[in-house]
Amino acid sequence: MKFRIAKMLLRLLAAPQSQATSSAPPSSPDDRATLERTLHELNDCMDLVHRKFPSNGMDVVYFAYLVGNDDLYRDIIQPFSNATVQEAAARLACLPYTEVQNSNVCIDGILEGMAAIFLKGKAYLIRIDEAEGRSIAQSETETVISGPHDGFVENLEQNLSVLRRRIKSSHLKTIELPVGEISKTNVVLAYLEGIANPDFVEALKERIKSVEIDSVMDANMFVQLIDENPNSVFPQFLTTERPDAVASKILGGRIAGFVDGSPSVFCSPTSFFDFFSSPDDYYQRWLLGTSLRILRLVGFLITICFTAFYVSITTFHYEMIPHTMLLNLTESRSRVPFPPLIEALLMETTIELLREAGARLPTKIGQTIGIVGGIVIGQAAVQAGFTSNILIIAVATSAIASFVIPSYIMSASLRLIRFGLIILAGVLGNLGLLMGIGFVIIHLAGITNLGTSYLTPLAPFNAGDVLDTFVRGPFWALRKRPSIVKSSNRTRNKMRR
Amino acid sequence: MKAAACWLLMLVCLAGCTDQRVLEKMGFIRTISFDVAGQDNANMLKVTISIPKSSQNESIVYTTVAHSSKQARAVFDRQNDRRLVNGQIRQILFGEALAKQGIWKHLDATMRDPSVGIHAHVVVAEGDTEKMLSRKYPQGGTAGEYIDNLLRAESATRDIPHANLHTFIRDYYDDGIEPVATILKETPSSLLIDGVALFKKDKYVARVPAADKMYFGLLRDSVDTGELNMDDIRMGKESLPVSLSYIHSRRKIRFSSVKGLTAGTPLKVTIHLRIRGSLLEFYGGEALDNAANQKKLEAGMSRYVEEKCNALIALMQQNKTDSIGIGQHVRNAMKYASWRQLEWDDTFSKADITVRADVKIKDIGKLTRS
Amino acid sequence: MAKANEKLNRIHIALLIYMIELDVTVFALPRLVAKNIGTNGWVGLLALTCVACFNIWLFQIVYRMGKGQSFFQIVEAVVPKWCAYPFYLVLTVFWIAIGSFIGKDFILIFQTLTFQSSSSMMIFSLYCLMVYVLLVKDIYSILKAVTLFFLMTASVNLLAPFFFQDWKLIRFTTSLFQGTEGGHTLHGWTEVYTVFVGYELCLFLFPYVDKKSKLFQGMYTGQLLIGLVQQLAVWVSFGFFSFPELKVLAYPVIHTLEYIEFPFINRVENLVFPFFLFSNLVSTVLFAFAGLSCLKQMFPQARPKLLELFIVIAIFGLGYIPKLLREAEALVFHSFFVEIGVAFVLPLLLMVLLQIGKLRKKGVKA
Repeated sequence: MKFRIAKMLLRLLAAPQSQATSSAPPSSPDDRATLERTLHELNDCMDLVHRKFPSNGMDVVYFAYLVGNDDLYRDIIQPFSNATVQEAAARLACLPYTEVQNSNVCIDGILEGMAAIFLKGKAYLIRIDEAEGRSIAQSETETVISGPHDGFVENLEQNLSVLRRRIKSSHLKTIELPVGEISKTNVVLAYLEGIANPDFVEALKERIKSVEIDSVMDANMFVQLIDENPNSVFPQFLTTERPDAVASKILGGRIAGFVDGSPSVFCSPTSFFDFFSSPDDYYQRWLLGTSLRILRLVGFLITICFTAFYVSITTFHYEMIPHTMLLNLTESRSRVPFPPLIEALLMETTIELLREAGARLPTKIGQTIGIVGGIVIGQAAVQAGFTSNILIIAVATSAIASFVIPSYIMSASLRLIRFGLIILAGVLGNLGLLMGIGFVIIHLAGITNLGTSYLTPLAPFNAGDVLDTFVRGPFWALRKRPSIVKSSNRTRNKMRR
Repeated sequence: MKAAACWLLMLVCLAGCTDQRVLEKMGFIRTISFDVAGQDNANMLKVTISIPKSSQNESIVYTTVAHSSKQARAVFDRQNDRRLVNGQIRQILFGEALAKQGIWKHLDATMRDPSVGIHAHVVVAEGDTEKMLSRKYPQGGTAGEYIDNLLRAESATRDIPHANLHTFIRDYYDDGIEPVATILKETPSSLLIDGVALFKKDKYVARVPAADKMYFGLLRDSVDTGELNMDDIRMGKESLPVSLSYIHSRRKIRFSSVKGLTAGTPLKVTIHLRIRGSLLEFYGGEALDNAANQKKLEAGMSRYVEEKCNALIALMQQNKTDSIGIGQHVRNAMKYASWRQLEWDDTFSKADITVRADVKIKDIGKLTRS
Repeated sequence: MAKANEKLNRIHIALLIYMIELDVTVFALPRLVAKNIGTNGWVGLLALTCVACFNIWLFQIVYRMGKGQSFFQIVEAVVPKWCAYPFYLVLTVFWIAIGSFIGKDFILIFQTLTFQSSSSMMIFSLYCLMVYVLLVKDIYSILKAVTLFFLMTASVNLLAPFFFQDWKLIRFTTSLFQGTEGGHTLHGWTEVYTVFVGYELCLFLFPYVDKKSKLFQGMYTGQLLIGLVQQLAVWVSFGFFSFPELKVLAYPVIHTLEYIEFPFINRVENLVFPFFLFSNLVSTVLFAFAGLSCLKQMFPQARPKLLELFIVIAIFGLGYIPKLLREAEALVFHSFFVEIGVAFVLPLLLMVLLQIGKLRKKGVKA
C-alpha cells in the first residue's frame, strides 16, 4: 500500500520534468542550442572549459575531467586551431561531428563527456570522453577456480566491449535507455535478436521506461524498481559480475541489462534455481558439475532447516533422537538457561553480527573478527553454559552452507527466511517447520518474472530443463535453450554424440 | 494481513507452551519392567523404571507396587524432578511369573501410547527385574544401555527372531503364528541371553534353551547369518563336535492335503531346511579335502540338525503353540471358512511334523585336516 | 502479462488430482481395506480405482458434450438463475464444510502424536491462514505450489523399501475378500471409496483448460498415480502387519512409519507425518476453490479477496464443530459419502441439462 502511494506521489512530482527530457520536440527559437544558453545552464561549474579559437571564431565547451586529452587534441585542437572559417565549417559538416539543434540535447551531450562546438550560430557535438575507472579485474564476490577471471567494472562502455568480444554476432543488439530524472544513468539491454523472445524485450523496455526516480546507483537497486513483486524477500533478477555468465545467459535467450556505474549485470527472465548455478559447473566435467549442483541444493536445505530442526527436536520431538545421541545432547543442553528457541535465535544473531562485521571491515581486520568470533565466542559460549555445543555445530553448519549458494543476494534472503522458520519450529515443532516451508513455497509460486514462473522448470514442469538445473547434464544432452525464455529458436547444440 | 499473522503467531506461541518437551527437562524412561508383586499381594503389579542420567553411566531406578502401570506411573511422577516421558523406551521387561499369567494388558497400554516406539524390545526376565535394572555391570553404562547393546549385538551376529513390540504384537494378532520373546537371565557378573520364550497368545508357555536357539531360528524363518554348534556329529565311526559359521538357511514347508483337516484327519508336515555354512571348527581325524569325507560329515550334520529340530517341535506340540508359523502356510492352502472352523492349536499338536535338513559345507577354512 | 495465454498442463493436472485425493483418509486406508474388503483387499481397491476412472469418464462426456463449457454455463443455459443460485449455495456450503473437516481431522490426528494439550483451534487457525494465502492466488499459482507440494509429499513413498526386511508375502493370505467385519456391504465398500474423493473438482477446471492441455489425460494419469500410491500403502501394510492386527490399528500408515530408524534419526513418523499437511492443505484449498467458483458466479462484483476471506473464516468457523477425533472422522466420512453421491449425480445431471439445452435450441430453430 505505502509503496503504491509513494509511487503515485513521485509520479505527480516528476511529471513536468519527464516531459521535458523524454523527447526532443522540434526546435523552436526558444530552445535552440546557443553558446550563451549553454554557458548559462552550466554556470558555476568550475570544471567547465570554454575555449575560443580566434582564427575562425569557434567556441568549444566541455567538462575538463570528462574528456580525454588525446581525443581533444586529435579532434578539436589539431584540426581547428589554424583553420579558417570555411575549412572549419567543411570539417564540421562531416562525421564524427554531429549538428544539434536542441539546447537540452547539447547540454546532455556535454554532461556525457562530449564537446560542444559553436560556429556561426550552429552547434555541433563530438564525443571525446575518456572513461575513468578501475581496470578489468576478477570479481571479488563471485570467484571461480577454473574459467575466465575477468569481471565487469563500473564503466558501461568497457563492459559492453567485454561482452562484444565474447559474442561476435551481428544479432547481438543493444538498446540504450536512460533512467533517473537527475542522474540520467544509462541502462543498456543486450539480447540476441532471433533468440531472445521479442515480447520479453518489449515488456522489459516498457518496464524500464516506466521507472521514474531521481537516480539509479546500482543494478541490484535498479532491479528492485522493475520487478513484479517488490515485497518479496527473494531477488527476482539474477545479477552477476561475470562476463562469461552474462554471455551464456544471453546465448541462452535471456536479456541482459547493464547499468552504467554498476559492475553487476542483471538477466531476465530468471527462475529461482538459476541462483544456485555457477559458471564453474560448466567448466568441470559433467559428473563433477552435477555433484556440485546437488551439494548446493543440500546446502540450501541445511541453510533453511538445520537450526530450525534442532529447535524443533529439542523442544518437541525428543523421541526422534537416537538413544546414542540422546544423552550427549541432554548433557550439553542441561547447563543452558534458555529454551532452545531463544538459544538458537541468540546464536543465529551472533553469527549474523559476525558476518556483517566481517563484510564491513577491511580484509585485514576481518580476520581478527573471524578469530574473535569463531574461537572466543564459540568456545567460551559453550564453556560458560550459554549454548549447547550441538547448537553451535548446527548454527555454524547452516552459516557455512549458506555461503555455497553462488548468489550473495539469494543467500542473504535465505538466511532471513531461516529466522522465520526457527520461530515457527520453536512454536509448533516439525509441523511448524513444514508450515513455514509451505508458506515459502506458496510465496514462491506467486512470484513471476516478466510473467514467467519463478519455479521453472519444476512448475511448469520441463524435463529437459531439469537436466540443466538440478543436475548439470553432459553437453550432448543439453540441446535446447531453457524453456523459460520462450525462444523461437530453441536448439543450441547440434552435435550428435 | 500481516498484523493478523503476527497476532496469530503470538496466540500460538502462548498455546504451544504446555506441549513443550524440552530435552533437559524430561526424564526419559529407557527401560520399564513389569513383575508380579509377590505372594502376599497376588493381584498387584511391581513396576520398575530406569531413567538414564545425562552423565551416561548412572541411572535412576524407581520401583513401586501398584494395581496398574498407569498407577505406578503416577507414583513415579511424584518422585521424579523431571517430567517422565515414554518416547525413548527401549526395552519392556516382563518377569517370568507375570509372563506366565499373560502380558497383554500391559502391552496394550504401552502400544496404545503413540509416543512409544514400536522398536522397543520385549524381553522375559528370569530373576528379579528390579535388581537387574538397578545393578551396575562391568560392561559399563547403565543397565538399559547394556541390555540394548546386548540384544542388538545378538541379533547382528545371529539372525534369530528377537522380539520387539512390533513383531510381538503382529504375531499376537496373527492366527497362524505365535509370538516369541528373548529371555534374559541374571548371572552374578552380568546378564545372559538365555534362550527364547515361546508364547501362546500372550502367555509364556515354554522356553527354548540358549543352546537350541539357533535351531529354533532355522525353524522359524530363513536365516542369513549365525553359527551352529553341534556337539556330536557322527562321521563314520567317530563322534565329534563341529561348528558351522556364517550359515545361510532357507526353510520350506510342505504338507499333505488339507482337505480332511476339519474332520480330524491328522496333518503331515515336512519342513525342508537348506543350510549352507563355513566349517570353522573340526577336530576329526579324517581329511576334509575330499568330497566323500565332506559329504559324510554333511550327512552327519543333517541328521543332527533334524534331531534337534524334531525335539523343539515336540516341545511346541506339547505346549500347543505354533511358534514357527506352520499355521500361516496351512491357512494359505485352505479355504478361509474352513480355516476359521479349524482348531489350529489342536491340529498342530497332533500333526506329524518331520524335518528334513540338508546341510552343506561351503568351505572348510584354512586347514584341510586337524 | 504472458499469463493470459498460460493454460494448465496435463502433468500439473495429474499432480493436482493426486494431491486432492490424498487426504486424511489415506492414514486409515489399510485398515479400511482390511475391515471392509478383507484379505487381499488390494484387488478390491484396484476395482474401486476403475470405478473412479469410470466416474472421471462421466465428466469427460460432460466436457465433450458441452464442448468445454464451464459448469455454470451449462447450468444457466437451461435453469433460471433464481433456481440455480440456491443450488450453488448449497454446494458451496457443503464444499467449504468438507474442506474444513479435512483440515480439522488432520489437526486432530496430529494431536494424537504431539501437541496433545494445545488447543486444536490454534493450530487450525494457522492451517486456515495457509489456506487463505494459497486461495487468494490464481489457479496457475495454486498449481505451481501444488507441484512443489507434490514433490515433497511424494518423496515419502521413497521410504517404502525400508519395510522390505520385515515384509512377508505370506501375511497376505491366499483367500480373497474374507475376514471382513460384518460381511460385504455397500456401506463398507463406499467407506473405502472415500479415499478417492476429490477428482470431481475437475469440473471447475474446465474454464482454465483448452484442447492442448489434455485435461482428461491428466485426470486419468493422476487417478492412476494415486491408485498406485494407495496400492503401495496397502501392500506395505498387508505384508508388514498381520491381517487381524491391521483391523485394529487406527492409522496403519503412520504406524508403519514408526518402524523406520536411521542412524541419525529415529521415529521418522514425527517428521514424515507433517509432510501430509501439504496434501491435506491442497484438498482443503481445492474444495474451497470449488466453493469460491460458485460464490464468484453468484457475486461477480465482489471485492477481490473478500470472498476468499469469507470462505476461510467459514472454514475456521466450521472447524469448531468437530471437537473430538471421533466426531471429526464421522463428519469426514459422512460428508465424503455425500460427496461421492455428488460426484456421480452431478455429471448425469449436467448431461441431462445439456440434452435439454440441445432440444430447446432445435425447437427454436424449427
